[in-house]
Amino acid sequence: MQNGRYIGYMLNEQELIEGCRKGSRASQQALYDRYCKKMMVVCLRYSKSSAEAEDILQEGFVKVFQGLDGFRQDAKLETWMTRIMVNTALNHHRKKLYLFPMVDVEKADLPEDDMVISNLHFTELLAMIQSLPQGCQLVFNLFALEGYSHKEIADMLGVSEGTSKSQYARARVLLQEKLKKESSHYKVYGEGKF
Amino acid sequence: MEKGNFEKAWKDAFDGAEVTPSNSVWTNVELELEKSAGGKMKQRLLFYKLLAAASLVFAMGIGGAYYVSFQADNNQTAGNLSVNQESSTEREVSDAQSQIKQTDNSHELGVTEIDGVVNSGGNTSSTISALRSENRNLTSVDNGFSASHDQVDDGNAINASLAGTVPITNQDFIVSTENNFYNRVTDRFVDRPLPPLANTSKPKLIIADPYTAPDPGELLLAKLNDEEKKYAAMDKRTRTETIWTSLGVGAGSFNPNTSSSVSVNQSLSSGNNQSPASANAGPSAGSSYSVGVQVGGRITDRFVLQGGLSYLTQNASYTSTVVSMESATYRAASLNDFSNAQSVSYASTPYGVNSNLQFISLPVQAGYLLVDKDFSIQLNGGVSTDFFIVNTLTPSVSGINKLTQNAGADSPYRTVNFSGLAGTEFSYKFSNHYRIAVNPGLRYALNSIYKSDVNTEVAPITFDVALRFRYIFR
Repeated sequence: MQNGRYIGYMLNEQELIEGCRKGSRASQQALYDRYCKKMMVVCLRYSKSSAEAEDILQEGFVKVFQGLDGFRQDAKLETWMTRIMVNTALNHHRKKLYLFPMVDVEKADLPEDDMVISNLHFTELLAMIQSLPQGCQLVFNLFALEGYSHKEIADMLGVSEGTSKSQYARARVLLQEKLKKESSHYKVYGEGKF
Repeated sequence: MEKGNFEKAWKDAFDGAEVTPSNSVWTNVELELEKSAGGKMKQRLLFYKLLAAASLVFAMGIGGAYYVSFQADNNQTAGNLSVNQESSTEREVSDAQSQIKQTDNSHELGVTEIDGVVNSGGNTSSTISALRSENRNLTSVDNGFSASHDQVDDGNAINASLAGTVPITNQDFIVSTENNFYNRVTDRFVDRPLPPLANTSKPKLIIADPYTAPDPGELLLAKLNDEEKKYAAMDKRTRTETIWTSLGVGAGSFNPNTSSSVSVNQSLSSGNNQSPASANAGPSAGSSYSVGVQVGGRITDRFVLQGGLSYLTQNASYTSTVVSMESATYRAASLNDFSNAQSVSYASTPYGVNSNLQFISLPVQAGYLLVDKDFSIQLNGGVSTDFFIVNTLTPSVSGINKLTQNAGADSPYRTVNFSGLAGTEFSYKFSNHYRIAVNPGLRYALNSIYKSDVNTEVAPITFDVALRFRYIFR
């Protein structure tokens, strides 16, 4: 069998897709290599640890290869794969959502301070997202980073639109508090701390 | 809620972000893909096996046919040669006859008999060599000699005894060869060199020894099959026992756990100055019985949640030295009488009283499965809401009436009580839908069953063992 690590450099995306559809393991490996790092970030955003993210990534890629025949190429492959990873992550968390249902919380908006975000490395932002409560984490990812509306999120998670909004508001408050803390730290120690 | 700069900033921060996962992820993905392709692979392997078997049978058939054909053609060649050279044979025979005539006129030479029978193959009866040797014999025959020879070819013999009575004719040979249809059909192969019909170097058929050289594909399939079975067993357990209901009865000991007594001195109408303790001696340990139904479900692989409804009765005996007057008759005194200014109580000689408490209980428990097999061990913990129904104080002596106290404002008992539950469940699944369980458990009242104005704390502790039959819906 040809090693996918080498094929990946030689074939374009369409050829890789065709190879995967034919069940070529080398093509599958090449496709995996091409997207696993980006997809890992998606999975990390929806999980609390690297091990959990890798579980989701693994399950997601199996679904990708099994469902590639159904990929109509209306959207970019990366977008399609991201959607599969997100759905896999949501399924992964569904049991926990059942056990720890989301509840409405009071809305509280803090003034925006997005300047701090650009100063931080994405791994630090990732850690902040992972530290959010389960419901907040999911809703924040879906709304802010995946771009879903609250109605869509409500349908996906089986909660009310109001719950989605309140969870997002809470997530935002918590993140802004963390950003504020980071910001003060940043101001004290400057960029040198990185 | 509109998406603003905050969301955009976050989205931008993750643009192009990459984290390398561990190598084991791809290995596991590959394994999962192999596993899902396992069924297809099995079918393919079966097809290839059948194909190989069919090929082998076909090859053996072809080889066998070639072998038979090759053997037959060798014989045909000889037979055909005799037919094709018929005319020359005739010439040779006539030459031989003339030679015989020339050698000795006193001897007649002829074919007396031909014993050999031309077989269906018919191609071996009169070979050129036979004829030639016969002719040679004929030419070498001296006077008084009779020549005979047996020519055997392929089991067919021609015995030609030359007795000199019957002259040999060419027609005899022609007839014998004309019957050989096969020879005439295959005449065209005679004069050209035939290609080798079979490879004389025998190829070796190498069959892998299944014991020393296992097929790696088969090994992988077997391994995957084992894993699949293992996961299927796990899935089956979690999938097949998710919702159930159970019916159970329980019995155990009941400790009223009285922590204080009332002050009854002022309430007593007689002059007996009894101490509070002697008014109603603390109840001794009694018995508890319960019967109820439960509904349970599995929340995760290990955690279950179950709730239900049960009827609970608790009995305890104690000795009382107080009676109360009601409608001109004595009845057993209750704690309520001591705090109620309206009731009239009297000191009496000690008498036995049986107190019976009845509750409707709504327990809710979470359980953790320590062992999750046909024989299971489960740790349970939870709370129970106990609704007080009635208390009956039954004196053991005649002349003193029993007292029944229901729930309500006048009752000394709280209508709603809470108890903590803890226990272990040992169960055995004896069919797909049934499980029998034994539950030793502890029930501890979280509040006093008496109202606060009674001045007595009674928080019963019950230890009982319940036997439950569980019906598993799915």
